[in-house]
Amino acid sequence: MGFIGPNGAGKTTTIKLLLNVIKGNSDNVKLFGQAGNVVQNKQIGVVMDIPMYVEDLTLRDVEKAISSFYSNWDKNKYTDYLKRFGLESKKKVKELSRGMKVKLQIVVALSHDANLLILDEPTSGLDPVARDEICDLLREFVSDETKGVLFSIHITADLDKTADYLTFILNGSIAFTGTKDELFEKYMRVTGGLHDLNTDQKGFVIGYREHSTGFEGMLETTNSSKLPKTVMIERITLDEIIIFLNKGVKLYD
Amino acid sequence: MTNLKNFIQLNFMTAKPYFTVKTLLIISMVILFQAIMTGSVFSEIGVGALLGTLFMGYPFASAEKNNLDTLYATLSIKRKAVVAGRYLFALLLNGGTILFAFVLASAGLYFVGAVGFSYSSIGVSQIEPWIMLAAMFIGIQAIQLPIYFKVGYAKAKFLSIVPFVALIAGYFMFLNVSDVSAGPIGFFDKLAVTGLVVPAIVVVLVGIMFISYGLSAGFYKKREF
Repeated sequence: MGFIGPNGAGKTTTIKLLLNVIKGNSDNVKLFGQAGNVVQNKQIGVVMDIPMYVEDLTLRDVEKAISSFYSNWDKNKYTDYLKRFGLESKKKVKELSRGMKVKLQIVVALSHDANLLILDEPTSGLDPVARDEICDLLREFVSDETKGVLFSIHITADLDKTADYLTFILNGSIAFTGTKDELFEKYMRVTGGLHDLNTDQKGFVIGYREHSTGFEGMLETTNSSKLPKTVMIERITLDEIIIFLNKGVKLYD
Repeated sequence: MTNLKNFIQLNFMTAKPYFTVKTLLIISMVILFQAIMTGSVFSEIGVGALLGTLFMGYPFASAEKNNLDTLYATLSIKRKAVVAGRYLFALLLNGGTILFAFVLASAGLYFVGAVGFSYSSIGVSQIEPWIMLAAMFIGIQAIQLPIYFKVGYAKAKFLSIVPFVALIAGYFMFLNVSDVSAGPIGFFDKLAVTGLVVPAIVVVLVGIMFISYGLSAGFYKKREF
């Protein structure tokens, strides 16, 4: 599931709530259906924007430091994945590029056979090649139907490649949650002339914006019959959905 | 319990990068200098505790620098275990630094031949001042630990110096007290006669540590990262 929303929407906050590194106002945060204040570490793998390993330790030391916390840690898997991803066990964490640090965190998750990967902006700040590699990894991970990924992201191209489900949040509330197809079925891009819509009809357009030659905005598909035939309704991109939803907050119920 | 043991081990791994050869050489020189100047290996009890106080902040520094508090959550380490682990780490660190200082000083004095000492000839009264010094450093740790848990290492770096300054200020205040039979020094003098100095120090330290632990647990429970 891709977790999307503009900066400050609450993506990282939600992930931190799930991990219990910040306190929420209620006890409604549940992971694997269980409320509580301790993350079931065997089941999850976490990839944070800022890596969580001591920079001066080697990758071999990283394993020594954390493997004892996982009863299902597989030493061979760790070694194999390091090799596969081109990570040298003698290297220090600080010697790794950002992309490699993300890979290291994924390797750790794979080495204890996590069922759920939680990633906070795993591809931000990476070059296209590294982003593609990370997306491939995530796709491979979820190819096992018992496993899932929750990742916050704002690079929509990566989202298109990897996510089947999307949750869009705005100001800490869910604006949309469902499959990617449902999202594209739900919203359409609408454009037209400056005088095509009356005031009531403008109310149906999310993120209504006028420019010199006309208007543009986003429309819920169910409202398409309420607009005149003179306007143009077409498929919308993920970027546009994010932009228009951000402009015209319309929360999911 | 296993988690706590693993966490203490993790703390040592976390602090490992700080224990460089350069650091080892510097502390070895301090230990040997102290041993030769005092002619007593027992002075190393105080030196060891001082080193423990200096190194105790390393896991806090490393945790803050490397986002480790989030790691602890992902490793299912309860916050109480983090606090308990850091206190046990401090205890083991003090034990380790005192032992290291003691062994190095013994070896140093033996090889240098500066002092021919005999363990059997050293009475309790010669150890007491060093135990009191060590107790003061451990008392400082008891003050520093809740500060680290409350505000984190970066902000606590300055605040954690305050107990040292207070100790030095207190030392000079005592020097100016004309009647040493009054106040804490007089109290310890009277206590020394009864041979209860060390047990009294242990009781006081345990009490201070319990209060310190309670404060740290409360502070860390509320911390957000």
